[in-house]
Amino acid sequence: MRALVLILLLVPTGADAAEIWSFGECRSELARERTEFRRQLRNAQPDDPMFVPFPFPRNEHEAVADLIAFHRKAFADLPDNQLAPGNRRFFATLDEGRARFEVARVANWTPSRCGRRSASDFFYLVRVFDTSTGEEISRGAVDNWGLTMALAHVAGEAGGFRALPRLTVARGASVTSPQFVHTVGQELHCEILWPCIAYREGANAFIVRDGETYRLALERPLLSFRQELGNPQARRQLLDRFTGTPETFVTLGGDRVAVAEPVAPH
Amino acid sequence: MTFRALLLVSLLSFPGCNLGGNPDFRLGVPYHSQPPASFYCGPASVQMWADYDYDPPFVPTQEEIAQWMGGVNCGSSEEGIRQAVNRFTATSDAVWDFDGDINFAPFMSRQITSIDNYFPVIAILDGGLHAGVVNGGKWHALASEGYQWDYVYFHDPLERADVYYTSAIWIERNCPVGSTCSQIISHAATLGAATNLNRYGSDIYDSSGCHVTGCGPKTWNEPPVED
Repeated sequence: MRALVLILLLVPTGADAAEIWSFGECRSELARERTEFRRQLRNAQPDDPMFVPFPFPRNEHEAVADLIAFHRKAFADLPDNQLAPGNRRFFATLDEGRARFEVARVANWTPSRCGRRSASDFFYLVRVFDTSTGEEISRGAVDNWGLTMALAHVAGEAGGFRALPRLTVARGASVTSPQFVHTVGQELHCEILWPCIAYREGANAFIVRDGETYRLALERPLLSFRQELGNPQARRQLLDRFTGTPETFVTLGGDRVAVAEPVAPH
Repeated sequence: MTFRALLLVSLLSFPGCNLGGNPDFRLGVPYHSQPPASFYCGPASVQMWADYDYDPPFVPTQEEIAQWMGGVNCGSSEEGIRQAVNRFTATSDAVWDFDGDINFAPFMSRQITSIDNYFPVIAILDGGLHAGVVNGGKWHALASEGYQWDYVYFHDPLERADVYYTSAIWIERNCPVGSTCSQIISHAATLGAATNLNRYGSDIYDSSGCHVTGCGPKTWNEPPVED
């Protein structure tokens, strides 16, 4: 039995105070299911599998508590000697009071923003550090309903986690609303635990990944995830259309997909 | 390969014999990342599967796989990945398994059954925009009906090995609403899937207690089956 001996040292990254923004919107067809799930999640008791200590977490502390509770429940039936090294280290760091957390909000621009049950506009990216070494040992994601999405551990391999980009974007004083963003596209791929940066500049919006900047061509017709990526034949036609061009495309959340144009760094 | 083939034959005599009894399971597929800023998630996934089947002298490079596929300048096609699996791994019956998004229950049943039979699966995510290898996870049967992924270990060639996805987000990424569910899978390794689905119930549950017909904790009052 792994007792919860946890000293919560939590460091918001500064991204949490800002409004999360996106260009996606959810269709109403699953609204009833989401409303019902919201009710059930709020009323769930501790023995229900959907139970989380803080449904719809209001802050980073509650999101961290939800992540830990889910992970402990998922591995509750495994003795310590059967845990994978990364999990064992994660639990030991928590139980021995050596965990420090950094939490950032990440805008969800993928189709899962409008999922079957929940509408996850954003999620909390939780980075777990071992204070005895300073190393980031785990990285997890908890959505704005309090449900754990993903988790990864460093299990002794060299290099550890790829660092997160800094939210300060060097494009001048006119840059506004920088935020982390999770989106998928052709080549331009910003994973749950390795998000990119999105920001606005005047009427334009940009995404930065690994130092490369793309402008979202929102003045052009948006593409439809369902119609143009929803079946393999249509998707192949779309991919062929972009082959050999500098342009690509990214999801905006729900059904919306935008063309993205690379821009030269300032 | 011989061992795995024999194991599969024996397992198929008792399809799903491991289902319900696995606390936390990883196939042990060796991880390979794709080159940065490349479209090589398909070749990287095939390489991982090949490395699971063969020792290094017989494991192809991603470049070899990509060239055999005719180049992947705009991303791999599912059909290209399927053919490459049959060419470069010990599996010769890989199929491109796709289904409508509302049919995620039998689709996930085939995925779990393949893992249960010790065969990797190449998951096609986000409506075909990304691919990687399912390396295992945890599932359990419910006493009343259904069996479920609790979570999945996903070898993401873009990022790292064994990224742990909860079943809810895994279903969303495998079977986006309005799109298709898609994976490359050994046909023989899925033969127990229908039996498993019938044996354990008609639905795959995710860890939030939701299934095809809706969400709710009522079916979770039963304890998991302990084999």
